[in-house]
Amino acid sequence: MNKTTATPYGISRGLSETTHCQHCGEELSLSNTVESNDNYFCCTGCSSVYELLNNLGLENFYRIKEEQDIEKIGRPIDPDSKEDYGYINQDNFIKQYSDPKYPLRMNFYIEGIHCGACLWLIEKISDYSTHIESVSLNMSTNVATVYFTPDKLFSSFPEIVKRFGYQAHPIKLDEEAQNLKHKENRKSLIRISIAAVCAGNIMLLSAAIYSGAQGVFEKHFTLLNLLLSLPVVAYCAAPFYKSVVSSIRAKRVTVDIPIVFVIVVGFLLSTYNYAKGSDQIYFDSVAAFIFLLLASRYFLKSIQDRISKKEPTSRLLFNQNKILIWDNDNKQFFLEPTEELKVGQRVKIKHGDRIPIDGSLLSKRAELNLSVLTGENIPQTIFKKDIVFAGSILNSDEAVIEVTSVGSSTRMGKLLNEVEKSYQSKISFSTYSDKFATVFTILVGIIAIGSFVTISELLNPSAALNRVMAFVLIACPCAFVFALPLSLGLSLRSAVEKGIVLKSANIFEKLPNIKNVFFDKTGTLTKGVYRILKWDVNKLSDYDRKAILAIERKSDHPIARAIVTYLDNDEILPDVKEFKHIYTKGIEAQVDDHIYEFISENVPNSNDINEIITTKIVINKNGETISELFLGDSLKEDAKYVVTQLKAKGYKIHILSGDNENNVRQTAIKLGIADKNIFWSQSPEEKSQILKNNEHSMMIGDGLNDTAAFSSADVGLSVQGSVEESLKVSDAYILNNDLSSIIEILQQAEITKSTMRRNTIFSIAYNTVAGTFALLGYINPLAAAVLMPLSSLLLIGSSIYGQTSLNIWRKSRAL
Amino acid sequence: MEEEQSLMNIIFLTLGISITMALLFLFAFIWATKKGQYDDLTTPSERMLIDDYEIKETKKEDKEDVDT
Repeated sequence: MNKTTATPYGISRGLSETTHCQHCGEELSLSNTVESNDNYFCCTGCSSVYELLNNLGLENFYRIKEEQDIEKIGRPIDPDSKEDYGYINQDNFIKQYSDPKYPLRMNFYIEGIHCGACLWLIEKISDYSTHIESVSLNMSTNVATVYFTPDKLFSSFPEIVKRFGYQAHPIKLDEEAQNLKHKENRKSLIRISIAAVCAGNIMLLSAAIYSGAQGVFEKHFTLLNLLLSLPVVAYCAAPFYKSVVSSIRAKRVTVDIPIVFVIVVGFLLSTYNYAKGSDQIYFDSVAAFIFLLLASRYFLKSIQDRISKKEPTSRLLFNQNKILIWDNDNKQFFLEPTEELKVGQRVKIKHGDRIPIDGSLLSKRAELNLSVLTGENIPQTIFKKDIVFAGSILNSDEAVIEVTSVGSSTRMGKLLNEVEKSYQSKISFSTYSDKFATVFTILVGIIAIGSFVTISELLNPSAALNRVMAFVLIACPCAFVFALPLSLGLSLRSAVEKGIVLKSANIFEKLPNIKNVFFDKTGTLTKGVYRILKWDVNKLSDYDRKAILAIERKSDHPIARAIVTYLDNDEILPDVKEFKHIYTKGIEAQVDDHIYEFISENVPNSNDINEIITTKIVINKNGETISELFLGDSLKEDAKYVVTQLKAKGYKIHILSGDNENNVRQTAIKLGIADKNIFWSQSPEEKSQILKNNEHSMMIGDGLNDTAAFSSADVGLSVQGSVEESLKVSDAYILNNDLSSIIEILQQAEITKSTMRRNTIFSIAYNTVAGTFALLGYINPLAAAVLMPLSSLLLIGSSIYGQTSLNIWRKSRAL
Repeated sequence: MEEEQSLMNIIFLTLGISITMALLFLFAFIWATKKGQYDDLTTPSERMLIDDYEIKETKKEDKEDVDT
């Protein structure tokens, strides 16, 4: 790492100037460097954004970046291509996307925001455009609220943003839902603050009482405590009462029942004892208990919220807001919002567009990239009347399609809906804690009733009541109610720091049970980049090389593109005549008088450790073979290591791929995965079925085609390279493109589980001992006041210790 | 007796003051929360790290430049 330290004003860029892209900080290699005015960039996109920013006097973007120690930002999203945002200015679009109360305001979801420098840049836009009044960006949702000047040129914002290398999509904000969420958040903050103030003061006064305040002091202090705990019990604890009422309605035992029991009984008993002049008073315990509970739940919720923000799934998939729709009256295609599309209409799709609907093809033929459904990049040719699925990308020039279903009734839409539904059910509060808390609650109830009866028989009912109350108070379910959320929250945060984003904390309960690990192939175990692995170009004559390049430039097929990138230079190329596809075989074309043919063949395995050859192309010139080349994918560098490590830990490794048998088998052999554990040519539905049939399974994949599989697996893990949607549907997402994060997360789950187990054991032991003493009548309020917070503190300490031991494990692994 | 009386008075006075102060802070916090100051905790924390750089005056002239 040649990290240069950030100095003010960013003068000493040192090494990074020559080896890293000036704009995004990507490391440069010789083959992909773009030079412009003595600055070096990784791509033309970066260089044009850099120039634009400098021309506008916005070079402070880089200064801010440097001051905040940000080395690398995402690449700009295609800043040079022009996109037509004119549809945003159409009246019916504005009507849908702006609020009548604020006719000059529109909200945009912005792709590509990564740091404070981006924030600065986006908000500075209003200084540059005469059409934009002000911009304010919320970085936790990536939503920018833009106020326009009265000329209402709404398209100006996405156009400028695009030139800066981001992408803005107008969105409708559900303001009501948003306000509701804010209101709720504010309410819980207010609850916590009131509980904190009251509990703090009660503690102070109780300390005085315990240390010997007597007579009039004790009496008045206790009265003050009673008054201070009133708002806590009446207002702050209200959510617990609500949850108990609803759980009783649903006939479920939850951990909130003993909590409410403790609160209500503790408060009433203390009030009763105060009136009677007895010293069995628990106001301090009750208030502190409520405060700790509220705070730990808020902590966990805020972490969860931060992770599961962002856009609904289907919107991201169909992010084109407009589409060409055939207008029968005017006999031509018009751009209209996609949402207005109806079954039976005709739409025209252009090259490179993602098809937003299911339909049947009206054009003679079309080439489609179905990677979203199958995961494989090689396009398929379809013909008139064939079915087209939403989510596929058009590879040929243009196609006219008749719509058969739209939105959520498309095959993809249904898939996403199903996935989102099962995701919703996955977020429920920790199953582990619920199970134990239920047992705990019932047990405490039985013991309390049993001992009340026994002690009343032996002594008297009043003593029995006192002892049983003390027992219930002491028997604290804190292991489940705040130590557990805390340790889960800590694990979540530490995972995020390591570049693993987890969807919900209960992944840690499921991970230790995992026995089967299923990998997707393309993009997960392999790099997912189709490129030339072997080709003796030097044996070709200069003439042939130019001819090949000229021919392949005419095609959009991935093979052709791979060949063009391999050969590309700016020489003058010969003319190509008679270019045609020979279906399923290759292409044929004529240069001068020579006929060139490119024929693809399937191939034997490669001997190289990391390469997976998928295609062999034979080049014929006038019927004679002049060259052969091999294309394919290669394994990720750490794939072998991770698979070996996982095998050593006793996991059963499988490959589950939509790719063909040969490619999957090659991969399996290279990674040492048993033949009976590999599955090829699987549709998303079949993948999902296989995972349902295997218990304790974890799916590791990428891309939309694995989303159904993710939700069928016990744990779904997506790796980078996947579309952002998969984050929505998988349990975890690995940001840093590092397969070894899988080992990390498994280790973390193990440690979290053992922390939880330790906490449970401690809590059971504590409850047994303290509960027994309470029932025997040995626990006075002082003991209760010391024991309750002490046990909570111990549990919190144990949770933090668990995290530390993980860090120690990490260090030992790094060494 | 008299001593205890005055001691009691002073203790309750300070107690009253301390609780009033606590309540003042509590209300300040509640007010801030209701005004929405804690709704978005991510953006302001980033924003405060950015010094307010002014854009170079000479270049501000071509304001139209970016509106193409």
